Amino acid sequence: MNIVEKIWKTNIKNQLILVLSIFAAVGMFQLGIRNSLPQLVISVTTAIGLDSLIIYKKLKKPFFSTSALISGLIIALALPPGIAWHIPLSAASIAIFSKHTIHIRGRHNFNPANFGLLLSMFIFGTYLAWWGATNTWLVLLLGTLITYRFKRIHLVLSFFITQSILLGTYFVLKGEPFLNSILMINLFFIFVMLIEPKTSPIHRKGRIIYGVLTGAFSSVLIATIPTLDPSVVALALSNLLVPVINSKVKE
Amino acid sequence: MKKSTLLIVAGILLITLLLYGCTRKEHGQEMKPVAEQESAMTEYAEEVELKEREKRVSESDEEYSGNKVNGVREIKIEARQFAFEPVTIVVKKGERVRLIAKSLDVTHGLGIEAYNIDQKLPPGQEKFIEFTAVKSGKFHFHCSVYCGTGHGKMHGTLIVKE
Ligand SMILES: [Cu+2]
Repeated sequence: MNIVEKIWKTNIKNQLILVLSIFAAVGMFQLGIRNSLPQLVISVTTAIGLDSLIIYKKLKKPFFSTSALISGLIIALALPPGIAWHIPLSAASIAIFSKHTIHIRGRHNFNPANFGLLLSMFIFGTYLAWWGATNTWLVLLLGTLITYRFKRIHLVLSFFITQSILLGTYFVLKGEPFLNSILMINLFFIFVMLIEPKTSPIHRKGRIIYGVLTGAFSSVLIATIPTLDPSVVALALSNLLVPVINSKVKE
Repeated sequence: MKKSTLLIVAGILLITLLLYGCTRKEHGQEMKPVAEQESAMTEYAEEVELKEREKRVSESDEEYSGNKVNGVREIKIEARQFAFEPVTIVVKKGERVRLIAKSLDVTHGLGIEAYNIDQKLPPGQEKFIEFTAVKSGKFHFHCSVYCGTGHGKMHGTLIVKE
């Protein structure tokens, strides 16, 4: 079995970690170590440390949280390069705490990384740079692969189509090219955050509705409040509706 | 077993790229050579020329961006999907800086974390950002409004020289 085959067949979470690490490495190369490494280290160690500690207290067994590693990487890759240390620390802590405290119907409801980013936007007034996507083509390629592995192409497509149509129509009405709507899609967000399995609906049809809703929220936000980061707000709104979707859509 | 193998592979890859990144030469601002015409001049004329040039350089400081207007360094900067122009801004430590920023297409923003600056740039409007360059070094600036797929690579460097 060659290395590619080995990576392809391994655990999905590890594949996502690999993909995010590649994004991080490319971003670091583009922005310089000084602007990128500190927040990666702070965010990842905070998330893993806190999550592992909380789970250890519950299970009384040593635990290494790979999902916290994913959350930590996402947070660091979205926050602005060279940001003050207390913001990745807070965002990662909020992410992990939200995962263990905000539960409706037995699951945690908010995508942890997304929730951490959202609250730090409102608490610290920080903006998001999404520097995990310094190379658009790489994100498109590896993002599609990971989404395929997660079996979530339908979810990404439902978001993609909804936002393209709604925002495209809005652009046309404003006298701008329809295709500009595709240029507004946050690839890092749709391939890495939208597909998160635990905070999206259980059933396929539900996930399509979830994708459509997120795309609609995002389009409205882009059209009305351009200075607000549309993706994280849209995802948090859809996260809130997941219990309703799960109870109504059973296939 | 498989899990740990993959983590090791990821780790090695990351460290390799990290080291690569560390050893990469940062492309700094190239100084423009002052083009000088060689001509036959008397000693006196040469001296006058030299003095005038010194004066001129101290006023426009070719190694720095923009121009000094009433003691403030004014620099024009344009934002569009997905780049800033110029991408490198050079100022002198201690001087007052006024960035005159403008977006040419959609709403962008200019965020300089090290200086706690975040100015939103609605399309077509000139916005003034004033600060004193108290910290020397190379600082990253980034677009501070999500503006599309290339938002992640929309950034530049502020160089504050001693
Ligand atoms: Cu921008």
